[in-house]
Amino acid sequence: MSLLAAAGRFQGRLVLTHRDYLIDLVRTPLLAAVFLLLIRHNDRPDLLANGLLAPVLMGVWSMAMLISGEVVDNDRWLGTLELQIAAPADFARVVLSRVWVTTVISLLTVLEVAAVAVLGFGTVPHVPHPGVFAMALLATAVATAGTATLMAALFVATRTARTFQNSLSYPVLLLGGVFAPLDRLPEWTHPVGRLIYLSWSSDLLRDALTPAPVTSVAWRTSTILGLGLLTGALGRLLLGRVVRLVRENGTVGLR
Amino acid sequence: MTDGTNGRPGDTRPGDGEPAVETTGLRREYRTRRGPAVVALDDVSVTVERGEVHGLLGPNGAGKSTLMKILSTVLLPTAGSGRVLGHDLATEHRRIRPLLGIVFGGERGLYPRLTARQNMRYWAALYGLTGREGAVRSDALLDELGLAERADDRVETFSVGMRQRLHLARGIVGDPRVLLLDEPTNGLDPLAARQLRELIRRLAGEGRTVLLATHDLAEAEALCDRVTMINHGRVVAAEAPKTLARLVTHQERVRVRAEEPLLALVRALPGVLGVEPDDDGTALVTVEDKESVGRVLAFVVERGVTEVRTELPGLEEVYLRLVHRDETRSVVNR
Amino acid sequence: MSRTAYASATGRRSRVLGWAARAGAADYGTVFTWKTWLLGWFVRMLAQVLFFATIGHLLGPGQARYLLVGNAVALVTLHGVFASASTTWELQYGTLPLLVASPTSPTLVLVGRSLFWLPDGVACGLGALLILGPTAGLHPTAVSLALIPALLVLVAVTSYCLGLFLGSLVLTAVDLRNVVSNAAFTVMLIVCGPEVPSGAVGPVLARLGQVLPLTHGLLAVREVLAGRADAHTAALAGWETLIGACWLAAALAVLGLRARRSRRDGAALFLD
Repeated sequence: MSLLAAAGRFQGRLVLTHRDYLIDLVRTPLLAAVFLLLIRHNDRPDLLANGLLAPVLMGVWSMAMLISGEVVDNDRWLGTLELQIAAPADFARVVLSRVWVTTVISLLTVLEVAAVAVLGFGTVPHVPHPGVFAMALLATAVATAGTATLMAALFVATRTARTFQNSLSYPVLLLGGVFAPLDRLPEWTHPVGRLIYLSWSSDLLRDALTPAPVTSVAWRTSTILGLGLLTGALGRLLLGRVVRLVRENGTVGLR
Repeated sequence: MTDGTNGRPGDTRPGDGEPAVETTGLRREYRTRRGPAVVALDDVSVTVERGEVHGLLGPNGAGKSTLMKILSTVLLPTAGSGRVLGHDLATEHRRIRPLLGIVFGGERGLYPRLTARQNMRYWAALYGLTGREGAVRSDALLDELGLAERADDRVETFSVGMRQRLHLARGIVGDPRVLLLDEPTNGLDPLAARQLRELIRRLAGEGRTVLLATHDLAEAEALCDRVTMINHGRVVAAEAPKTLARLVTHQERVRVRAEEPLLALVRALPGVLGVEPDDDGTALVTVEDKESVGRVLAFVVERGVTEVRTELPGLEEVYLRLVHRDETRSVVNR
Repeated sequence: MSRTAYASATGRRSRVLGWAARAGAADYGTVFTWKTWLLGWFVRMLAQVLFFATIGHLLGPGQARYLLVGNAVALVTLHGVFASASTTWELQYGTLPLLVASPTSPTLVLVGRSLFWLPDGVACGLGALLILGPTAGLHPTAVSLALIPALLVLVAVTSYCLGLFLGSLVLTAVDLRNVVSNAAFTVMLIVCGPEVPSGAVGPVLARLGQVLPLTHGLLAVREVLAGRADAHTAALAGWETLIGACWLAAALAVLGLRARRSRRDGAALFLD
């Protein structure tokens, strides 16, 4: 637990002092303005839930990718990655705690988006199912952390993965249905899209923001959690393999 | 190298006869966010004659780099003035820049993703050479500095020594009349450093003025006609390495190949201040004055010693003494 | 200045610009191979346009096309504004003091340094219009095929000028570069018309949009795609050019100012 706290403090300080990491906290309110403008201009108040959720999910996802990629990358660059891996503390846990803290910080975007809605558009977001909303948000955070762990593992393991880090934004957001639900995309995209936890998260969170009763909450929440834990476990496995390879070969990278 | 490929307008040799570099009372302060300004240079007056290899010697943080930056026109002095080849540093930097070549030590200052040849042609363009002139000159310099074989490899694959040679080639691509070298052998292994020094000597032989900032005494001694020592931003001394030695000590030294008990007898001679045996079988005899030198010489030659010579203290000793003297003085002044 | 001297100065400038562009392209070449570019970067860019186009489908008739065109052209701007990030690369190589001490202005190098973003941006924008256009019922005519690339190049250049200006502001704040370029781009999404017409954002923001790149160029693209290319379109392109020139002038002024100031106060800029 103390390790978790230490890594968390470290990551928290890093995010708050290194201004590059604030990128999503700066961009999210602006994106919220984009979506709310679209809704207002087209006079579609029924899409308000979509417009409010999209910037939050985009911010959470983007921040998790940035941290899992950039931090590992910067660490490699500074030569501290080897040191961290060689440190006696379980490397996977260090990575996980750093990802966790970032995910928690990224939930600040919820407040930001709400502020933009209220101050910029005079719309007070209404949450008809607060319990479902909170639970879905929590499950989303868990799944984000899990996925970020897998990504961090991939980034540590291969340098090529880092090249594609940028590409994981809009394709994933599109298939994750963060604004337009996955159901609106062609049928053939659904199998891939349903593997992305965001598609479940965005559906459930949207439902929590609309007055109609939410169905099969438990099943949908556990799907989000399940996907998150699965990716997290995969990430841990991969990290373990990387650490073993480092001890055997003395260098990072599976390539 | 002196093929004069580029006839730049700055080449009209203004102020002929003026020293290559001359500064008067240069002072440079850096403002800090809090607290008082930091004085990096204080009343620095340096004169470098044309064609001279001049050393700027001092420990790290003495102000050498600040002086180099002012001379390379990227930094203005807070007070005082300076001229390079007769042009004022503060107001005529546009005239000075084509006449200067600059080489900083360390790994930075090249484009790692470009090849050596591309780097050279890039800087040739910056120094106003036409495409063809740049190509010819780059090839000639790469060849001269022994980089021709690796000319088309990316600089990121180069060793530190090769990079440093490329830095030097880059520095002279504009055929500068004055070359500013800031710790050029920094980070080089002894062999690479020696090769680089030979190159510098060769460049100096082509009639360029070289100003070499270094904290390496052997380097200064090996390369420089004259040396200016700075410490704490002030000039401590400026002389030829040999004259500098006289500055710190009026004592005379005689090195003799002799052993005990003869050395004990020498020690007893009048005017002898000390006798220090060295590992190589010689001993250094320090004496009061010229008369005593004669006395010691006559004494040992009479006793069959054939290897005798007078010598001056090395730059290292001078350096340590001068810097130490300077340090004690600044402590006293405080 | 005599004519030959002028010609040689121009030749020298273009040589420096060319070499600086090459140095930038070499850096870019280590980030992408054509394969990773196509499968990674290009696909991501298409997904961005598709993301907004699907929102358009949801919003109502005609919106998919409006958002598709707007966001495809915005991709071009995105690349131009990214220049502010790569301008700081120069700092990492420690070449700035040497550039300043050279007889040629470092500004010229900084201008050439990030030019490689422009063909990339035009390729992404054009690719998005051609590949994704049909999904929103957009079938380009011969006239539009001839005019659109030219307009995209124009938008790329004007956005690049803004990018240079932003880059000149964050030249020494390496850790702010991505924040600034991303924030600027997202603001442009709001005020320059890719998502909603500038009339929908209120008079103050609309006025901001009027002085930014992209706004007029995008309107010109929309006119061409609607088959209404006429004198008004040419006037829009003229405005876009003028605005780009103003931002370039501002960028050059800031860079010159910073170079002069750093010489005086020894700011970290060139003394790293």
